[in-house]
Amino acid sequence: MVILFVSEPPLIIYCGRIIDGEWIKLSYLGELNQSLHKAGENMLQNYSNERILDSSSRYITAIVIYKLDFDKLVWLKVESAKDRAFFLPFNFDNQSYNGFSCPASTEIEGNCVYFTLADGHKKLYSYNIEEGKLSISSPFPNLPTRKSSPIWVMPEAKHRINMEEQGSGKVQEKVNDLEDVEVANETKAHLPCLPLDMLKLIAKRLILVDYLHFRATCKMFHSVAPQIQWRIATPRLENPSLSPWLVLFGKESVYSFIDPNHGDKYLINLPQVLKEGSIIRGSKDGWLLVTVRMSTFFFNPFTQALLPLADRRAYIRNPCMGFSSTPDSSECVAVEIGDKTNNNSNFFVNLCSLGKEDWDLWEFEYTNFSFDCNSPVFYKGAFYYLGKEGNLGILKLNDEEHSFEVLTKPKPPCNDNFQKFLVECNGELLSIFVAPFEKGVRVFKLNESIMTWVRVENLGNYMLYVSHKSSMSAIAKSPGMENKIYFPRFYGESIVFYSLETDNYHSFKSKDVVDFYSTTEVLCCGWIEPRWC
Amino acid sequence: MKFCTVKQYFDDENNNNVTNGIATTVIPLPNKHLKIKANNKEMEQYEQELLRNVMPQELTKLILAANYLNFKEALDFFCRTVANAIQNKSVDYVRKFFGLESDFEPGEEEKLCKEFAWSFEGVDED
Repeated sequence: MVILFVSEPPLIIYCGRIIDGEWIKLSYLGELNQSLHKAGENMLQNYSNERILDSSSRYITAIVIYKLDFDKLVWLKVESAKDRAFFLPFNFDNQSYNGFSCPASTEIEGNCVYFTLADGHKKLYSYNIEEGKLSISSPFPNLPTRKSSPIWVMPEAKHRINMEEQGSGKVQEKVNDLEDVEVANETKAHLPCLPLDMLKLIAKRLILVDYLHFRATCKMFHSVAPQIQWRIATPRLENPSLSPWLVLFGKESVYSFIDPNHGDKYLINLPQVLKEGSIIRGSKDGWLLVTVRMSTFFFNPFTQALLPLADRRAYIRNPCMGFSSTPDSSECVAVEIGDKTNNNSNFFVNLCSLGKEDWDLWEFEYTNFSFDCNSPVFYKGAFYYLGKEGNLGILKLNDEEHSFEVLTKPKPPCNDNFQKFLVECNGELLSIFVAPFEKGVRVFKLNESIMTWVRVENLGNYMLYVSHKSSMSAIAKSPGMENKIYFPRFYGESIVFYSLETDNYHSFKSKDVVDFYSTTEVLCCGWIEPRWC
Repeated sequence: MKFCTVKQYFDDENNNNVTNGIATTVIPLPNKHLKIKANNKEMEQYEQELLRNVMPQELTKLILAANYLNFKEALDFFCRTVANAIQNKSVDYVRKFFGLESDFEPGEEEKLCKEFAWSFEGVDED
C-alpha cells in the first residue's frame, strides 16, 4: 500500500494498492505532515507527525504523532512506539518532507523522533515519544554549513516487514517480586502489633502520599486512618515544599507533577471531561487554564475544582492564552491571542469571563509585533506580551474599546536568537533571555521611569520558574533554592536550574555544572503553584 | 510529676509490658529532657544517637513502653520516628515494617488504588 498526499496543508490523501493499481481517496481533517512508508503486500501502519512550530519560530513547542488505522480510517494518537524510530528532515523553512520511519534495532533506538532544524543542522534533536522529552546532541561538529537542507537516507534498499512486529510494542507486565517479600516475612518474627490509638498517633504525622500508603496497608490501618483532605506537615517534619511544581500534560488521562526540590513525582487522575487530550494554556495561583479542542476550563488539580468557560468558536492558530487572576474573583478574564490565517494581516484577541455565554472576538490591525508562544503576564491591570523581537506589547482591556499598544521603548536587550520569557517578580516586570543551547541566561528588570531593561545580577531571595505555558516567581522557602531560574529541563530525574551566582546550569543531584547536552527538555508542561484550599 | 507509672512499674514485679532492655532506653530520657529543656537541637541529636542502635521494628516496643509509662514526650518522639521511617516508601514496605499481611480482597485493594486521586512515583527503593 502506498500513501500519497496531494496538497499542502494536506487535506486529502490517497492510498493505493500496488496490485490493483487503483487509488482510493481518503480524507481527514487537520494539518498533518506525513511520512511515506512503502510496504509490500502486507499493509502496515502509517505514521504521521504533527509538529507545532511556527514557520519563523526557532524552537519546538510540541510534537504529536498519529497513526492511521486503516480499518476505521481514523487517526489515533501514538503514546509510545518502542519498535520504531522516525527521521524527519526540516528545510530552511522548517517544513518537512519525505521523512521516514524504520524499525528500531540495536543501532537505532526506538520510541524516538530524530530531526535537525534550520539552525545550521549541526545539532541533532531527539524526541522521546513516551516521555515527551526533547534532548539535543552534537554528533556532527564538522558538518559544513550549506544553504540546502539535508535529507535522511537509509542505507538498506528495502524496508522489511515482519509479521511478528505488529504484535510487539505492547505494554510489558511488571514482574512482581512476590518471592522476596515472602522470604523476608518468614525470617522476621511477627512483632506485637500496636494498639489502635498508637497507630492513630503515627498516622497523624504522615503527610501526602505516605498517609495513603498507610491506609492501604491492611483493614485495621484503613479504619484508623480515615480519608482526609491533604495535610500540611508540622514544622518539625520535613516540609513538603509549596514552591511551584512542574505539571506535565503529555499523557491523555493523567497529569504528572514534579517537585523540583525533592524530585518527587505525583500523578493525578483527571476528571472525565478533561481526559481526551487536554492542553494546559496558562497557570496562576494553583489554577490551570485548560482547553480540550474548543472547550475551555479553569481547573485546580489540587482541589479537583473544574469551572467551565464558554466554548471558543473562532479557531486561532498557535494561540497564546492566559488569564488575569484566580477564577474565584469576579474580574477574572481569559484571553487568547493569535492569527487566524497564515497571512499576517490582522491578529485576533478572544476574551471571556466566567458566566459569559460566549467569547468576545476582537480584531486588531497588523502591527509590527510577532507573538511568541508564551503566556502573557497580567501586570498592573493589563496583559503584557514579549514579542519575538524582544519588544513589549500591552493589551489593555478598557470598558468600551480594548487597545493593543506596541512599545518602542524599552529596546530589546538581546537579539532574537534568544528564547524569551516574561515574569512578574515582587511587583516588577522581569524578562528572561535564554541563549541557545548552553550559552547562558540573562535576566532584566523593567525600569519604568526611563523605560529600559536593566540587567539583574542577583535575585536575592527569589526564584524564577519559566516555561512557555506559565512563568512565575516565588520566595525561596528552603535554603539553597534562591537566586535560581528553574527550567522544564531534566538531568536524569532531577530538574535543571540556572544559578545566577555561578552563571551556569546545575541540578540538585550533583554539585557540578550540568552538561547541557545530557539534559532533556519536556515539551508539554507548565509550572503551577500548589494550592489546596 | 512525669513518672507516676514508673513507680508503679517498680512496685509491680510481674510486669510483661515493658522488658528490661526497653526500660533502660526509655527511662533516662526525661532526665536528659530536663537538662536540655530549651535546646531542641541538642535533644534531637541525643535522640538520633539513642535510636541509631535500635532496629526500626523495635520502635513498636518502645512505643508501647512509652505509652505504658505515660511518657508523652517519648511517645511523641517514637511515633515521629516511625513516621519518618515509613516516609516515601511503598505500601509493601509499610506492611513488612509492621509485620502485617494485606487482608483486603483483591477487588477491594484495586478499588482503593483507584480511589487515590494521587499516587506516588519515585518511591524510595525498599
